[in-house]
Amino acid sequence: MSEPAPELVRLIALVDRLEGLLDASSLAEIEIEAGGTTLTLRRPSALAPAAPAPVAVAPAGAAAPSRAPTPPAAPAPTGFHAVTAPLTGVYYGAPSPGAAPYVTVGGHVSAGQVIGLIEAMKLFNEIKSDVSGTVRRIAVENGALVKGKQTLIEVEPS
Amino acid sequence: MTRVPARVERLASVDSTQRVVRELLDAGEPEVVLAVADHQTAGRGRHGRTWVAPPGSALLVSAGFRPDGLAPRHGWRLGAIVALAMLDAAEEVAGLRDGTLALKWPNDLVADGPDGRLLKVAGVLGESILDGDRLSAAVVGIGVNGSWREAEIPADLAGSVTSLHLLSGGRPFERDALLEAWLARLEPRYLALRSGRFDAGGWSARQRTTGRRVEVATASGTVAGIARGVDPESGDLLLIDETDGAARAIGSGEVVRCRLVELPGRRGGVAGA
Repeated sequence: MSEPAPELVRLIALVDRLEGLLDASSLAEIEIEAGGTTLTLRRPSALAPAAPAPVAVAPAGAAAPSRAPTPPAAPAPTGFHAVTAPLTGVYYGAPSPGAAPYVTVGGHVSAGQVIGLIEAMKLFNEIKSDVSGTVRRIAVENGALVKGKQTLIEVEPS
Repeated sequence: MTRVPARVERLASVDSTQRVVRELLDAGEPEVVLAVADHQTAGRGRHGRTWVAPPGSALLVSAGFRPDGLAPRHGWRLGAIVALAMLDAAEEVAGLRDGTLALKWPNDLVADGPDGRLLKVAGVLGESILDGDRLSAAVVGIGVNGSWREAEIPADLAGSVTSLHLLSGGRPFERDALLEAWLARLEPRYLALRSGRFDAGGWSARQRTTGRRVEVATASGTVAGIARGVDPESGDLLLIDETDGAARAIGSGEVVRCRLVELPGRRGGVAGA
């Protein structure tokens, strides 16, 4: 069996590395360009149209958050109900580090139940579900910056 | 009708004044409800950190609000008015010169320490309950270092905190007087906030971080640069990122370091700015 080309080995190593970076971040997509090659890694959740997600923090003056938020998720194709963020801030899926999450995929959620916290300016805002049903998707990562109106979880109403 | 306060719970020892106030609000108690404790066994800090103070050495108080009409994106202003009212009250009750205390973004109370460092005097933390796009209730807690002497400051906090006792040159810490003076200043600020007015100028002017080099821990890592001010609409900290010279606005993060800098054309840095 012949050795794979060095370029291919390097490329695979790069994909591995980017995959780790993507997993550890709240980014929906990483794009890298070198020479004539462009490589894009995208989360399954970040269906088109995913806006390019700059890694750097946003410029001042535009009520911009401190980092590029995860691009809003595409509408749920199955018609699930989206519980959205009422304000911009850092999302936490559990009441404190190490604690059990407020909701889990497949679990039941009731209308009025707390599904997560959004911290802005050291005010921790409890976010509630506005429907009862089964949690089908958690659309944001713990510790990620979310923007107002961004989908937090998707619920199949019951 | 809003009263500040409508009810005060005085507790010798409690796990957390935040919890007490939250439960009172959940049970339908009208605003503004307070819990004051001599000692907290599980005082809450950001990210589950605990707040430590020997019994009686600090003013530990939480206030519960039902701020009808305050937009969720302006909820942070409750923390700001709690801090601004305490800043004025503490300077008066401890007999401090005006300007001794300032804010470290967003709402910590600090005093100038040696080498341009900032020493923490009080910390503010809040939680809110949102119903859809409405901020239905909020609890804001503040803990003020009152009577600590140098030897009583825990080793891991040495060089980063001080107390009203130390700042005043040894005056006894008068906790009840501080509480009363704070409430007297909180009431007009809160009633103003309820009618849509916020002391943006006062909040901005008292930010000691402005003009200094800051390091801010954010969700995406540490951002460092010269703080240019704050945005009183969003509450964001505005800084010039030293890695690329770009202007940034930071809405959620913790100032982990702050020091004086020599700015071109200005002698002696910006001490007292």
